[in-house]
Amino acid sequence: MAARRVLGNDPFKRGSAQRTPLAAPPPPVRAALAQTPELQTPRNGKGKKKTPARAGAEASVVPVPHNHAPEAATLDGMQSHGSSPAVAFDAVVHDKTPDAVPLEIAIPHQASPRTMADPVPHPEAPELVERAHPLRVPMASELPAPPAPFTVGSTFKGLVTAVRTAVGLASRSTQVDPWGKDTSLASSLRPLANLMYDSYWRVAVEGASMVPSGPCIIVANHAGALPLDGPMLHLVLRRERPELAESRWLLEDQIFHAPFIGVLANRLGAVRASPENALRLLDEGRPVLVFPEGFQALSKPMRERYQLRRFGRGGYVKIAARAKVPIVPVALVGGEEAMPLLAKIPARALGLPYLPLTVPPLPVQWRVKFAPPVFLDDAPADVENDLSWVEQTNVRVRDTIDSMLMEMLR
Amino acid sequence: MRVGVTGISSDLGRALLPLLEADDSVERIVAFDVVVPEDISVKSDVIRIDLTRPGIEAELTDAVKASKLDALFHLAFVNSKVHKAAFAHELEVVGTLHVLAAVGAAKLRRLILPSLTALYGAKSSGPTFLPEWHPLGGCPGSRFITDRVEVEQQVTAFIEHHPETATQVLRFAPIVGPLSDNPFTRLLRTRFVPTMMGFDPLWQVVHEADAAHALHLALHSKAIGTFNIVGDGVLPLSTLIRRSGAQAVPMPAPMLRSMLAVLEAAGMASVPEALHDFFKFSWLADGRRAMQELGFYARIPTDEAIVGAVSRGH
Repeated sequence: MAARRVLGNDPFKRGSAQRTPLAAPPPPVRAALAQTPELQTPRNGKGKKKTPARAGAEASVVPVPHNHAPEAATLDGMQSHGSSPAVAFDAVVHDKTPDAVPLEIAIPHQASPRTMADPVPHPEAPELVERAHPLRVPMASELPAPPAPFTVGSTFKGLVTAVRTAVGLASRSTQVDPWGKDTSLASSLRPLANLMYDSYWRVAVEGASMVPSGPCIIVANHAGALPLDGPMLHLVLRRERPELAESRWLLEDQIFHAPFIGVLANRLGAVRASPENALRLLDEGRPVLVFPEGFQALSKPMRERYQLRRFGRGGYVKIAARAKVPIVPVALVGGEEAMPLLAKIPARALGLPYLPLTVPPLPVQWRVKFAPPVFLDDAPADVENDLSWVEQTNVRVRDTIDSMLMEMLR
Repeated sequence: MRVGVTGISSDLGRALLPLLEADDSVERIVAFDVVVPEDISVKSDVIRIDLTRPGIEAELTDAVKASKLDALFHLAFVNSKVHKAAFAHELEVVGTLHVLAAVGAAKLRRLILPSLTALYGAKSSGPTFLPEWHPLGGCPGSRFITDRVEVEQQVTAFIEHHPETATQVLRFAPIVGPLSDNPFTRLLRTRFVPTMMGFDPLWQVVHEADAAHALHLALHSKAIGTFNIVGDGVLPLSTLIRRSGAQAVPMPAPMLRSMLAVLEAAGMASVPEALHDFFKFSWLADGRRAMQELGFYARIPTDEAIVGAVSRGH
């Protein structure tokens, strides 16, 4: 690990795909543990073992912290996903008792300097940690969404509602959640989404069991002319891991404030990308889906498909470190072929950077591969100022996704 | 406790008065206003004071001292339709200056003022839920909002120099209810509400009963500072319009803006053109601080508050 090329994946050399691949995504210690069911340890914040992951990741013999092992074993038996690395924590998060608090997230408002990724510190700033009443986010599986069979009539109604919503005409439902998601719209479109998922795009998922229970940041490559990867990954989690809290995806401003699709994305579960929003979503115990490449990745031409762009400035790493949640790298293949960006039509008058010329989504197979979670136990105390650590972690996550993509495209 | 209220005949004043009258710990209500409300109770005195008159400050200080007030609600703000922006500026900005000077001179123990979550402005970036310490972005081009931002700046300076006065600023989401007459309820009262096509921002509203309840809670609370007072739940603007009984008419953004500009020039606009960002970007305030420190929980959910929120006179 010490010999890692920190900046081996030069974002300015546009050719990440041509770079010699790493032998394997570097598995951190915790990730290696996660893969072996008998070595699992629950992550509930207490009894956390400080493992210098960067220094000793390749060590095959790892002292196993056994402090919570018996609970983990019993809870494993109760849950369907025995291989999930943090089953015990799931039980904590989704406890039905009213005083169940998902996760203590300490947000250092006072000491952090002003950066772009930082809410402005202020003496009056309330502690975001404290809650008036414990939040309980419904699990995806317990949302009021019976798995309705696909019918042409109901699907047509759902699509009409979606169009009305996008234009800005009120739908019949009067309930949206605080983030703007219209659950009834989402569930009316679900039969269609499921049909597309199973029969049209034939989505193949690998390693979904590695997504830890409880809050985490799921990082994926951005792909395709239309930002369908957010809802797609959301659907993957919903179908593969229904016991998790409902995920939300962060959407860059260019899409979020684009007319029609921005509104529709928001009603279906997209959240405006901002550090405060990410922290709040994590505080609610949700998996948060981020696409750190941002708009750059959506606007690249077809011939540069799956060549990762710069992963922002590593804002998601800082957020994960502050919220003390793991990062799960994900590789998504399919989006770029399903909706290739053929041309950019200038559309300043519509308030858009450009109008993408693409085809109706093609029946390409989508493949989704999850990597073992990256636990940031080696995060320095002062994450905001340790730019080199942030950048190293950022590159590590990016390399993991990059090598997964190369493996999948081989 | 002896409680003073400026602007008792404002929407908030009329909603708050019954709560103060029913409160046994309030022994006397002293109302300052230019008009005398008809339904004033035996518990209340009315002192006629015009906050826009130059030199009113000394008179107000004497009145505050003489009535031995423990707390003052400063509710004299313009909500009804005012064509004279100069008058609104005199009452809101200069009037508040007089009140702050009088409160400072009388060394009053408690001052409670209403404000607006609209002062944060509707912006394209930043957190979805704006906390109290978020800078007031305002809305350049809107005199109404700019005046209120100036009022808040005066209050912030006052708090700095007068720590002996416990000052609470309650920033209200748009207030709705059958008695409320403010820009938002007037917008809903028109049968067809123009909106921006392809955009449907999330809005918050708070029912007038909940707003009065929050003011009353502040009187007995130890917490000081600024609090966002928002309803329970958010709704897209189109749903608010529909639930209130009106009809949203989505129009392409450039067309909407030019139409509003023309209507405004003709004095017929239901909403000033300067406020078009509020039709484009969500503007939500984080109400958690009021829950935790004031104990304010909206009793009327947003989707119920908006039904019958405007009297249509038919």
